[in-house]
Amino acid sequence: MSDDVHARLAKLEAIEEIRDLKARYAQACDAGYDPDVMVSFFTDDACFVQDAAPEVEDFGGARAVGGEAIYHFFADAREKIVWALHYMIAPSIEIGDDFETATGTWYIWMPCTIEVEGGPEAIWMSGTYRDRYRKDRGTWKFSEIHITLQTSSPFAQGWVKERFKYA
Amino acid sequence: VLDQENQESVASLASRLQRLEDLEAIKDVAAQYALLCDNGYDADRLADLFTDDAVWENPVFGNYEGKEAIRAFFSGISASIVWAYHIMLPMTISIASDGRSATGTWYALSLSTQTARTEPGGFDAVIATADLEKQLVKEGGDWRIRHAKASMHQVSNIDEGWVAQRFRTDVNEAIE
Repeated sequence: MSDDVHARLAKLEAIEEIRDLKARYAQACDAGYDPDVMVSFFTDDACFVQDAAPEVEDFGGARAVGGEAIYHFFADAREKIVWALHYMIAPSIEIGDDFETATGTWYIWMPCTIEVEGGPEAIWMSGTYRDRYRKDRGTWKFSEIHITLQTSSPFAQGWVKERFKYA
Repeated sequence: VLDQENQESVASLASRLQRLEDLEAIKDVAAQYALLCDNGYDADRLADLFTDDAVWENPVFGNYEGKEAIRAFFSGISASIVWAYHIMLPMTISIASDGRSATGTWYALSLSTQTARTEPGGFDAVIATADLEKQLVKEGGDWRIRHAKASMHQVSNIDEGWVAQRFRTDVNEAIE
């Protein structure tokens, strides 16, 4: 009984810590994607995968594996995304029985300004995350972020006229 | 061996813990609901989130009674809503003292692509806001929705906005 209570409490605490990780990640993105800060949220062997909903054609996507590749991915984002607010929504987090690994799904709703040829443009970005987490020396980190974008639509046109501006 | 006071304290801890776990599980039901809607309205898995006698009420889409009617509704809706993205914000959740039923409210924001009202073969980009009220019951270990009621605030084409076009279709009732 007592062991059971400890294990159940530990799961709830782990879920809260992972929500906190996601919140700190969002705030760091919105503070300008400092790549040194961004890599600190990931395990050394982590990967970051970006793709788009299956019906979207010609989306190149991105795949960064390991700390150095992730550093460069965010250094690039820092140049292109000049303003963003990452709303991280509806987490569904499952803690592994080993209490060392976890998986989670989230929604992201992200109004942002992207610097393109011709100047900055207002964009409706949205998508879903499938994350993996691992405890690294006592701290939860991302071992994988997999974001599937649903829209990257210019504010004025909307997602019917132009669902993916930056493909 | 625990003395009586310690036994009571463990029992109290276990029930407080159960409540927190139930809150997590109920929020998870709404998160799964959104994911299944936005994965092309997966009707079978959506229906499994509801009790056999569930009621689903929506002033824009109509009212449906029973798991089978709800499944049939969801399996048809993707013909007119070809893409959707539901943001669910949990607001209040209250669990009955016996831990077997609960009520909860959510704010919802949805973006969608729907068949156009006026232009045959065309599509509209639609933004909608609603507040949702759900009654849930625990069946075995799983929380399921027994009653879902949506109050729609607006459903507007984004190039019109909600002042010029609060509702793009007829509605039975709306928030006033």
